[in-house]
Amino acid sequence: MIYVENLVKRYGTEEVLNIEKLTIERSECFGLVGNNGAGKTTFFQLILDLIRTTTGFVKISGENVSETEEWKNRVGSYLDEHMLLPFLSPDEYFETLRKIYGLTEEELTSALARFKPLFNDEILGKKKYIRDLSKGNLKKVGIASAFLGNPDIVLLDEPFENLDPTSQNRLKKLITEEREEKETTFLISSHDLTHVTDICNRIVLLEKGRVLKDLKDNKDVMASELSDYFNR
Amino acid sequence: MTPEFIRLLFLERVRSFSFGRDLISSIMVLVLIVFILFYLVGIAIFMGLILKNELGVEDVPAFLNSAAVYYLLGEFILRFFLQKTPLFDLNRYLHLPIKRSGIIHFLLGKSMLSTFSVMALILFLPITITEISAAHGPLYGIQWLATLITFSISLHWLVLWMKDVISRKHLAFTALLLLPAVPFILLYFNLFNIGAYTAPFFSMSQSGPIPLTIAFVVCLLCYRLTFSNYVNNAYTDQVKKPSAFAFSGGGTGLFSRFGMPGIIAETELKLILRHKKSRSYLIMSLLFLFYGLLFYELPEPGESFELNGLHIFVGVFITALFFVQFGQFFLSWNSSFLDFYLKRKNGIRDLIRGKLLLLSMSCVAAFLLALPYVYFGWQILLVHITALLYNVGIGIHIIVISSLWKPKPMDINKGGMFNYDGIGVAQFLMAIPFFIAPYIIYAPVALLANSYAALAALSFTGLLGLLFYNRLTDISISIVENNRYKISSFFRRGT
Repeated sequence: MIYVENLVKRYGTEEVLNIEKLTIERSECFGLVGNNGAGKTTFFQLILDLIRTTTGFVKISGENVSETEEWKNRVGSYLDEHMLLPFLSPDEYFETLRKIYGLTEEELTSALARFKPLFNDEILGKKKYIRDLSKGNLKKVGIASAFLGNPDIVLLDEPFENLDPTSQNRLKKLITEEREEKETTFLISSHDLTHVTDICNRIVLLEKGRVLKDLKDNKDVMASELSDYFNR
Repeated sequence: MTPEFIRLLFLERVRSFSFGRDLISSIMVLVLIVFILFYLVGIAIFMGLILKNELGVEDVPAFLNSAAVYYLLGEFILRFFLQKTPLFDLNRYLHLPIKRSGIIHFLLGKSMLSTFSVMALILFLPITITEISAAHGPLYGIQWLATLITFSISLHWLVLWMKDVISRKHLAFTALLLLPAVPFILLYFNLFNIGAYTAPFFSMSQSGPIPLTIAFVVCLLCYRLTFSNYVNNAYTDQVKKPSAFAFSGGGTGLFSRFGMPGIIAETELKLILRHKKSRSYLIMSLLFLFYGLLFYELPEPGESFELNGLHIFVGVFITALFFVQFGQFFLSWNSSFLDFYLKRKNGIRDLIRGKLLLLSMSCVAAFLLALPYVYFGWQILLVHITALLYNVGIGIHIIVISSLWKPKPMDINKGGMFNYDGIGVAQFLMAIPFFIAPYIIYAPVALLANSYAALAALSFTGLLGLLFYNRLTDISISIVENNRYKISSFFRRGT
């Protein structure tokens, strides 16, 4: 699904990311962990072609992301609040996305219906601009927008950050269901080790821009390896 | 996607926190544009008469053929200083399935909404009809005018491209700007007239659409150049390039004698030196120090220096330019970290005092740098002293207090693509009260007594302002303190 080769990002002489080879399979839930400055967000930005690669490439279903833009129809993402339009209300924002993705109104309503528990009646139908939302609610709008348009791949940067515990659990449930129903691939970066080990079947640990560990399938091994690393 | 983009841009404008402020400045810009158009139409209508009667031109079409290149060079220089670069927040759209090229086409198309786009048409339409078409037939006239307009549009793209290259690469490219000035200088000294060499090209319109075709190709090429440059740079990481200023300005100790306001003035100075936008104001102010050369002149031998009202304006302008620019966004510079000051005792008071101190010092510095103008007469020194007293005593407060009306949050760290707002016309317009105020004192006294008495009166007013410096500062402080919840909540929500 996603194939990365020789991916390097440098700012001047400082190297922030260097991944030799990495393949992410369909319907995988790919967790990305690492301390501050490990390169998690940079990796996501490179996958989404938001920043230029220094060397190497990212391919999504065989398409080089910097050469085509077809893949954007199949990839949903939310990295930070700069991806939203702060001067719209959440309803208006979803309506704008509906037009961009070419969905019918029914499709939008049913897509948003899944988010009812997560939204907790605080997002839709409110006369409030996105810029006036709390950090948690901002995140919910962003996450919901990443799910719109039936994407094959969803990238979420720190989705659990700023969410209350109830919402965190609801989000986990949402992600798991989505994977089971539609075989959606998820890429999730997080500092919350419990949550990522819970939902992800694969976890990659980054350190200073390099892949230090690539753990698959066995949750107990994942948990103990990660706890070893982070308790140094 | 275009209608959707237009709708979103409109909503963004209308829902901006500082809508009122933006509206007023837009109205002022609009009034200015109407004025300019009015003048352009006036010039256009009388151009034929002026050329024939005043300048004694016999063959107007031939004259226009050789003058066209100068018009285009002049338009280029004007465009370079006044034409705005289109702004766009790419972060919001790049991850969505919208074509990057579509965004850029929209952005570039939007930039065509400018007075410059119609300037060539307005200026040359009447003369094309009355002179060119009359002499050589309408077909020639239409082709001639279309060629000129197409070149003018090519300039539009060329300027966008140049501005972008300069903003991201080197200021040294600005030197390229001198090139279009060279033909004018050569012409002025009667050394060389490139118009003579380009005239045959424009006159070819007579025999067919060759010049128009060439102009069209040039225009397309210029658009391609700008377009591909924009598309290739439409990424969200632009900055991060180590610059000479990146870590400049450690402690200078310049303000150490002023206590807490001094410490804040020092941090403000760092803010100015470490951000591109404020730095460009600084450079601009330094360049405008030379503005006086246009107005001050040596008295003719045997005559004495004649002081007039214009000198006041020039003096005030030269010494105040930095704070007029910087001060208009007084608190906005600190918008992303106003809480830093709010949370400490007397924080706002110290912040405002510190900023005012820095602005006053910028005036003093400009005054010192402008001392060489004494060469044109000791009276210039008097003018500059008066200007300094007015600026620090009164002017500063006018600028600062008016800036506190609905201050805008501003992201000073944004330096990337499409976020280069330079010095807008609107800013000069918002400063009109500041430039008019000295004449409220100066004009009556100059009429009743003489210019020197008027100068003295203005200086005295400035001195009075200085005497009540703290009182006047307290006005700004109390405005901010009374509106602190409103201002800080605006700022916290960001731009």
